[in-house]
Amino acid sequence: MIIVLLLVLPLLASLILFTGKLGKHSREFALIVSLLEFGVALVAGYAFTFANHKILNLSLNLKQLLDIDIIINIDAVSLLMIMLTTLLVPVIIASNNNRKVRNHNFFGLILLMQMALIGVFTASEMILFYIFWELAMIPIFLITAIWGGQNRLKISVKFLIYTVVGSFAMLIAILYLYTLTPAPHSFSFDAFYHLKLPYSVQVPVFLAFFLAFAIKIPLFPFHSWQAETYNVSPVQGSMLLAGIMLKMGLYGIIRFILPICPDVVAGGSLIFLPLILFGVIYGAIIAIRQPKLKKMIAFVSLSHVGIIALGLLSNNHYGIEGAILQMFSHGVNVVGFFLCYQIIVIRTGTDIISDLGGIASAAPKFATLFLVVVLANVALPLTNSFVGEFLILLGLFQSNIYIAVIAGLTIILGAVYMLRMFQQVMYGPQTAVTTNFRDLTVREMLLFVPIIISIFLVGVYPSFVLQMLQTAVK
Amino acid sequence: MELISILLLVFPFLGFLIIGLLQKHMNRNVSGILGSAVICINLVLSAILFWHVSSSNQTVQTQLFDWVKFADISIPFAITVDRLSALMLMIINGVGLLIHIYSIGYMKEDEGVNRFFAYLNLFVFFMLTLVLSSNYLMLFIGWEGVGLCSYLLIGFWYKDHANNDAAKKAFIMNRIGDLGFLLGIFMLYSTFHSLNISEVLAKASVMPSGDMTLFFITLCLFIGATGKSAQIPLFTWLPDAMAGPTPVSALIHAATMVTAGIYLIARSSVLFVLSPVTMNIILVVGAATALIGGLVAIFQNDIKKILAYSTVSQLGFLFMALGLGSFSGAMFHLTTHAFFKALLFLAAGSVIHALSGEQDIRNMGGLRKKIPFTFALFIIGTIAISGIPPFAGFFSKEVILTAAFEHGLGMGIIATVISLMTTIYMFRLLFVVFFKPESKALKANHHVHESPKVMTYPMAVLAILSMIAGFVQLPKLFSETQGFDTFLLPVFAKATGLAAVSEHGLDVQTEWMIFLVPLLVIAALIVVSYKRFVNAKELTEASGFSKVLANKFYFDEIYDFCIVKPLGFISDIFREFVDQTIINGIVNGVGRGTLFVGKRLRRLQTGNVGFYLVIMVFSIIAILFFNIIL
Repeated sequence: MIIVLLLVLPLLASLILFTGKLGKHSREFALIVSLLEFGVALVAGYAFTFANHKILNLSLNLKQLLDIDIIINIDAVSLLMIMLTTLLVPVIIASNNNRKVRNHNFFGLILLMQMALIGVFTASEMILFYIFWELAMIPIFLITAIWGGQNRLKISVKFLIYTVVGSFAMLIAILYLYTLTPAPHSFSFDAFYHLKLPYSVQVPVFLAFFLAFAIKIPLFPFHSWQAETYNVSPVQGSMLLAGIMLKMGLYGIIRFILPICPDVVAGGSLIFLPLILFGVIYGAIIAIRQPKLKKMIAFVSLSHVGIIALGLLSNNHYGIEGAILQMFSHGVNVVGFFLCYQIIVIRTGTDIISDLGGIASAAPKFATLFLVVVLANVALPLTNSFVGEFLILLGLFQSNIYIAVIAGLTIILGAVYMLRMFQQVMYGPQTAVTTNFRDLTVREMLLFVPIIISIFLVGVYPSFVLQMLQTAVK
Repeated sequence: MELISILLLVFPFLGFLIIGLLQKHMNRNVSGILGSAVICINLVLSAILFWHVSSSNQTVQTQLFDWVKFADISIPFAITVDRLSALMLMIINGVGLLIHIYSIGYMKEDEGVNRFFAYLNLFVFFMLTLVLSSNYLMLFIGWEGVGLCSYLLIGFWYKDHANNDAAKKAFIMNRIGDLGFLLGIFMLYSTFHSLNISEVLAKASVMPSGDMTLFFITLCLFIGATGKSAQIPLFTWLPDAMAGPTPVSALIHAATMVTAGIYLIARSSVLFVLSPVTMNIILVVGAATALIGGLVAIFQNDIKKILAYSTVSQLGFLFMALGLGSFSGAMFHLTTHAFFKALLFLAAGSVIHALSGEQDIRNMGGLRKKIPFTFALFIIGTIAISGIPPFAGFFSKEVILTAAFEHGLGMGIIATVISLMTTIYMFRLLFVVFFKPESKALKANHHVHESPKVMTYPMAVLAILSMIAGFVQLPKLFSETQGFDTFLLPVFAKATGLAAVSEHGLDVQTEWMIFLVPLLVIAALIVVSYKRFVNAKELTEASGFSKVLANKFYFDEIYDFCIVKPLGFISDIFREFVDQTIINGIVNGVGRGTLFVGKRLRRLQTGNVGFYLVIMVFSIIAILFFNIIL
């Protein structure tokens, strides 16, 4: 029943928060619940690794009631994504120290979103999956539309419409596949996996799914909502989006595109590999001279998730496994990056890179932590993303040398944009806005603890995750 | 022995952690002593290992843990200590210790001294990882790790953006090479299904010479080496790297890190011997780099830049040796070069220290009386690097020159010319700094002082090493036993066997020629440069071709124009035009189009029942009509 607890706990907590009865204590309450949730996830992880796997499956037959089966279960990929979600949500909640916003609803929405995300990562039945998928959209839309910056309504509506278009394509594909399942029709993943579609049918199904996921991830050229939405959303919203929500799209590729359209993937995913590859380089090049820090993170993210998508579609098990690991690492790193961003913006009031400088001499602790996050983003060996990128590039190299070589250019470009940014923000003489830069408080240091631990744990000893994943990759 | 090999990595890392984490609370004198003590222990441990592998001819193998292991891929962390790595251990820890001690004096006044020693210990950790690794991936981890330390230490004084630019440049240029290395690793894995070095070499040794796969693998590894070891086209970062504190230039950018590329190729000797094309590429690139580095060094005016270009040139010379297949010759010169180049950098640091930060040699002169001890050490270093017997440089250069002449007369002459250039730039430096009449700027500076003992003693040790290290292997003319060759024989035996070069050897006359002619030329060059540089009033402004040389062949400008600027331009185009105008425009256009169509379609819903009925009737007629026809 752990799995039910994982879903119900944040749901109940968010309902309690929506009542507004908790007032000032909303944040503490939300934080405690999210930490509890992380504890439950750890138990699930323990159960998965060492104990009886059965407790991680749940199947309720509600045929009489709703005419659907509820099937939830956790495999290695789900578990890793649940770990990511439950690890990051406490950080995201604790990082908010803006008292002006209506706290209880804000935190309630975050927890509601957590519940929906866990639902997405555990559902084993299409209708359920689709419900959670759409449900996850609502809190982030509201967070951006209510607490966002300039033009928040226009931009969040654009974001909403964009993703709904993708979801709609996916819905059509799901319904179509449903009709193909042997009678009595079923929405369960297993039934879909057993379809063995001919190539001509796989292509449109691939296209429909790919559109939905490419918008969500986002992949070039469906990314134009991303930079705007990150930019306008409050930092916690950006963290949720970049850290966890993007992984829904990648997760979708793993769950649907790889098993249902294997021949399309084996054939090189139509024209999409070069397109994604272009996006990877494109994002990296834009990041080099992006004047605003937050938008820069968006383009860096575009480049990084593009690599992950390439790994997933590489049709090579090193690439796929590296990509799954990298989904976790990217979530951790990008949230770490946003934490640094938030600390800078709160203290200086600006995120224009050229206005900053000299922070390292004023705040050495912050400089060290930021450096670790930057190096993790640059995929330096012994940090988490090196393992993932190494395996992805190795996988790509074995499936298509040219793509691997071009994708490898991001190793250089990553150093270019990251070091340039870090130098301008942290080094050099202090500027008007950074003269009184305060070093990190204990509370802020604590926020970095889970990030730093994950960076080095996965970087130095990735085997434990990789071995866990290998059963799922098959 | 296994435990010792692990401890070698543990100690410097602990040193880094302790100094790094307690930076704020640690007394500034303690960090230097702690950092040096750690390396001192390491040196003792290395000596034990060195003795073990050289007396028993065994290698020490230590398994750590599986870094990546799933399905059919397995990349363990494991340590191998053979004679080659034992030699590197001695160099890294020996020179490292001396430079640590020197830094206690050199960095005494700096506020970031604790950070400095933390980075320095971290560097030693990664450098040892690099040479101890038993597989290419862990080697790569050390490889990138030393790059990181180099980045942090070049930009150590980060308040000045010039230093940060130099650091960034070093990191990025290294990354370009690293991509090559990484692709090489992928190819190695795809070809041999293993990254274990000895396994790869064993499997490769049965492949035919000139195999295409081996060619690409070695080419990629060499690209990696050109980044780290500052060869054309990726060498321009090294002179800029002099922005870091001088002990860093001595340790990282002269004695150890920049030789990692040579180590990599020597380590993979079997692969390279089997790809003659790559060997020739290495030979040409090495010779070109050595020439350009030497030429540019003659026309520089910054004491550290001269030494930096000298390093570029010497590294090129080392690559020539590798390209000629003289792996042990390259390692020999690498060793002696580590001693005298570190000595020269430290002595230069002592000069800079004495002059309170002055680096322009035009503002020096006459220093031999003011800082006599540093002067004596500098002379020893200069003699050693110029290849004048009986100091170390002579013996190691001799091995490489012999190899070059064995390859062919032309190559021999080129190598000789390259090695003679050393004399010109080094004696120019020596004469201008120490013999020339005092410059105006120097006369105004009354604080010229000799360095403290904590700085001079380590230099003295290096000076002794620079004097005697050569005697481990006398030229073939004088001695039958080739000590250094024999020592490394087990490492390179397979490669030398595969090379299958006809061992025709040189006749005695030629050997005497190689021995004597350079010495005469050196003597002549010293006299000429004494006349030219000591008596000239001021160094003249460069013009014509020498201006090209003074400006380093405009490499930086060319790269800036061909790569940096266009990249920035493309970035702006992508951001402003492609992303904003085209992609966002299309998306918004679709949105607007939808709204537009929606508005038009809305007019159909007029609410007029009659209109609906008319449409309905016409539709039914149309359907019937079609049904009849079809």
